[in-house]
Amino acid sequence: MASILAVDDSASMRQMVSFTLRGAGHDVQEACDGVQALEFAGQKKYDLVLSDVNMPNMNGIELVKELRQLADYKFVPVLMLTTESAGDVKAQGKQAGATGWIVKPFNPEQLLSTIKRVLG
Amino acid sequence: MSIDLSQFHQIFFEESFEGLDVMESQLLDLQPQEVDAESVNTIFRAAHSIKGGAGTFGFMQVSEFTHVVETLLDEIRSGTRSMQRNYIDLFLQSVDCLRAMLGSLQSGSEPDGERAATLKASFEKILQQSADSDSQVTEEKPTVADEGCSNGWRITFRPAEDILQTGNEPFRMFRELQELVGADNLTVIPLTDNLPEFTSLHPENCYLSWVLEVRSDVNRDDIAAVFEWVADDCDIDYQPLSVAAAPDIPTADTAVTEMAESAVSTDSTEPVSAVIPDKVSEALSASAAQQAKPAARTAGKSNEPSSIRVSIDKVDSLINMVGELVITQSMLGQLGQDFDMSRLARLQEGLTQLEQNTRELQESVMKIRMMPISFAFSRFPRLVRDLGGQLGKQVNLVMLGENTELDKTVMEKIGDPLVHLVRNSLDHGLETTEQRLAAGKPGEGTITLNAYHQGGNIVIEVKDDGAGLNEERILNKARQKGLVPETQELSSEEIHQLIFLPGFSTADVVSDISGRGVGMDVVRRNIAELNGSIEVKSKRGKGSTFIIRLPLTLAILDGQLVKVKDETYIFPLVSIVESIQLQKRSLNHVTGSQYVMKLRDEYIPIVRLDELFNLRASDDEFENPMLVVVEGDNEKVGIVVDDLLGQQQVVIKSLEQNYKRVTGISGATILGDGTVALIIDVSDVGKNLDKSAKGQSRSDQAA
Amino acid sequence: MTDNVIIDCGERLSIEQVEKLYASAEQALATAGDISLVAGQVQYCDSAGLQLVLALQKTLEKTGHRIYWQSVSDSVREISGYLGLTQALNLSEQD
Repeated sequence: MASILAVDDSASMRQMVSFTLRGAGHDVQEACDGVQALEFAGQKKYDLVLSDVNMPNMNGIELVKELRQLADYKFVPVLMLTTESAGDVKAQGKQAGATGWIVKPFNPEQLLSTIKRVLG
Repeated sequence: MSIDLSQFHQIFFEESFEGLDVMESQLLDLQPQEVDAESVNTIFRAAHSIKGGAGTFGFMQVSEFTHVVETLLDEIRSGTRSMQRNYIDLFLQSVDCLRAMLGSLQSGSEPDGERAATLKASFEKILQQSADSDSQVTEEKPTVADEGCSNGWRITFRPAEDILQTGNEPFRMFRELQELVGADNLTVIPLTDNLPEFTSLHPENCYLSWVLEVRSDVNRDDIAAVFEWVADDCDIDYQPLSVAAAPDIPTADTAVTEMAESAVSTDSTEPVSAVIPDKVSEALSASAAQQAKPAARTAGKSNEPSSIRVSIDKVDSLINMVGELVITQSMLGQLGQDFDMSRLARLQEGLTQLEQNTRELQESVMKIRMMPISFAFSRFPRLVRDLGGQLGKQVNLVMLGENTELDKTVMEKIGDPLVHLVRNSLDHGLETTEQRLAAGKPGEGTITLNAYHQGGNIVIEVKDDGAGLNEERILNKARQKGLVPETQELSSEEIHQLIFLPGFSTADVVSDISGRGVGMDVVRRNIAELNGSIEVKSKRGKGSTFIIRLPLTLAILDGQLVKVKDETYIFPLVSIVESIQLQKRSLNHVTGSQYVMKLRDEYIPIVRLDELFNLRASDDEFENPMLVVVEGDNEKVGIVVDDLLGQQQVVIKSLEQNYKRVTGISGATILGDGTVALIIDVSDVGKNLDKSAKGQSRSDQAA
Repeated sequence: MTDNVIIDCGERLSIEQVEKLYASAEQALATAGDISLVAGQVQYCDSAGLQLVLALQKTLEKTGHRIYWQSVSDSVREISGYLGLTQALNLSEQD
C-alpha cells in the first residue's frame, strides 16, 4: 500500500499512528521531529506525511514549508495532527502548504478513514 | 478494524511523567518579569502532548483538565497575557495534580477529580478575566441555520486555483462524498467555463469547477466535512434540493451543461468501487462506543514491571563485548582441543584476554543500570522553592554534577535520605534573611547539591552556607539524653557525628518541615543499608556539608575475604574500621558470656564467627586470630576470624532468592575457584548482641 | 494536414507529470492534426492530468481536430468517472 512518514514527538502517539497504519497494510517510517522527518524525506519519497504541529527542534508548520521546497514533495499530501483548540494552526498549516489536518484526539478508525482522502 | 489502544497506555504514562518533569523544571526556572519564550513553548508543548495523548487514549478527565492549563499557557505563549507569579504556582499545582491523576490511572484506579475540579475552576476564573481569550477559545465553526435535512443538496464547488498543489484532490472528495451518500445518489457535473486556451494553461492550477447533486437526506455538516480542508479557500455553495429543484445550473457554457447532463447517465454505470454506507455508519458507531468506555480499559494495569530506558549506545557496546567474548572463547576452545605445554604462553594470553573481556562486559552491563543523578536531583528545585516560600527564606539552589551516574536501585533508595538532608539544611541550616544580613552574609542562602565519582564510589554532598552546627547545644543535648557522659570531652568532629545518634534531634521545636518523625539516625541507617556512609563537616557561621558516599551499584561489592576455620566469608570493605592482630589474652577479657575488648578508649563487643556459625569444636582454639573491627548501625563490633585473605570485588547473589534468609548473612557470592562464600551482614551481627553485649559493655565502661 | 501525433501518457497522468506532458503536448499541437493518447499504462491519474487532456481537446476542437484514445487504463476511467469528465473526455465511447 502506501508509504507514510509519521512525525510526532510523543512516542505514544507515534506508536499508535504507526501501529494503526501498519495494521492497514501501509509502510510507516516514524520521525520524532521536523529535523528528523526532513532527513527521512530526503532519502525517500513517501506517499503521505502525517505530522504533529508542536514539536521541538522543528515544528510541523516549518516542516511543511521545508518539504514543499523539495522537488519530490511539491505535491505530496501532508496532514497536520492538530488539536481542536488550535484554530489558527489549521490556517497556518494550510498557508505553509499542508493538505489538511486531523484533529486530535482521533481514534484509529478516524485516522484510517481520513487518510483515504489523500491516498489512492 | 478495531485496535486495542490500551497497548499504548504504558508508554503514554511514561512520556507524560517525563513531560511533567520538564514542565516542572522549566516552571521553576521561570522568572515572571522576564519570561523566556522558548521555556514557555517547552512547557506548552509538554502540556499539549499530554492533552493530546490523554484524549486519544481515552483519559478524558486528564485531557479536559489539561485543556484549561494549555489554554492559559497558549495565551502567555502568544503574548496576549503576561506571566504572573500566581500563574506559575497554579501551573506547578497542576503538574502535581496531573502526576497524581496519571498515577492513579496507571495503577488502574479512578483519579481524584475534586482536586482537578478546584484547579480547573481557578484557571477558568483567570481565563474569563480577559476578553481576548474568549474569542480564541471559541471555535470558528459557523453555526448553520439550515442544518436540517432536506431532499438533498446542490453543491457548487469552485476550488481555489492552487488547490491541487497542496495535495487536495477533487476526485477523492467526490469519492468520499459518494461513499457517504451512495453512488446512485450523487451526480457530478463539471464546469469547464474557466478552462483557458491550452497555450495559456498553467497545468498545475485548477480551472475546473463542479456542481454536485446529492439526492439523499444527508446532513449538510456531513457533506461539509468532506470539504473541511479546503472550505476556507474555495467557494462552496449549498442549495437545498427541495428549494432549488429546477436544473438551474449556474453556468454560461451551455455546451458543457449538455455534456454534463448526458454524463449523468453514464456516470452511474462507471466501474466504481464504493463502500456501502452501512459500513461507514457501523465504523462510526463502533468508534463512538469505544470512546464511551475509556475507564474500563484502564483497569488491571496496576502491576507494571519497572522498566529502564537504555540508550542504544550502551546496548551496542554490550553486543560488541559479547562478540569479543565469543571470539576469545572459541580461541580457548581450539587451544584446549589439542593442548600441550608448548602452547602454555598462548593459553595464558587467552586467559588474560578473557579476563579483560569479562571485566569490560561487567562494566558495560553495570552501565545499563546507571542513570544520571539528575533523576534524583530533579525534585529539589521545586522542593526548595516551596519550602523556602513556606519558611520565608530566600534560597538559591545550586546543583552540580547532575550527569554523574549511579545505579538505578541506589538512586531510588537515596531519594528520601537526600530529601531529608535538604529539608534539614533549609530548616535548621540556613538562617532567616534578617539573621543572615545581620551576620554580614548575603540575604539569599545557598544550598549546593554536588555529585561526583571518587574511586568506586559516588559522593553526594549537601552543602549549605548557613549557621553551621551549634556544637555547644548538640553536646548539651547529648549529655541531657545520656548519650555522652557528663565528664567526657569531645572534639568538634566527634560532636558533629552525634547528630546521627538514634533519638537525637537538634531542633528545639519540632517543626513541620524536618520534624516528621525521621531523624538523622534514620538517614544514616538508610545509607548504611546501601553499603554507604555519611559524615558531616561543619564550621560555625559558615555552614555545614553532609557527605554521602555510596557504592556505584548494589550488585557488586568491594569485599574483604576472611577465613574462619575452613570457610571463607566476605566483609563489605566499607564497613571495616580496622583490622588488628588479636592477642589471645585480650580475647580472654570476658564479662559473663559476652566477650568485650578495650580498644583504645572504647569497649567493643566481640563476636566469634566460629561460634556464631558453629564451625569449631569447643576444645579447638584459634591459632593466631585476627580481629576485624566493623561498624554497622552506628555500633562498632569486633569480629574474630582466623585469617585475612585478599580484597576483591564480588558479585552479590541473593541468598533469599536462592535459599532463604539467614541471620547475619546479607548474601552470597561465587569465588574464582567456584566455591560459594557468604557475605556478612555487619549490622545484623551487631544487632544480635544488643540484648546482652551492649548493657555489659556499658557497665564495663562505667567500671 | 500533418500527421497524427502519438503522446504516451506513461504511468502517471498526474500533477507531478503535467509540466512535462504539457511541453510535449504543446509541441504536438504545433505540428499535429489529431492527437492520439496512449493511456493504457496509466496507474494513477488525477484532476490536473485529466484537466490537461481536456484543455488540449478543447483547443484541438477549435481547428476541427480531436483526441483519440489509443488505450485507456482502468484508473483513467475511474477517476474521470469521479470527476464527471467521462463524457467530456470522450471516454464513454471506448471499451
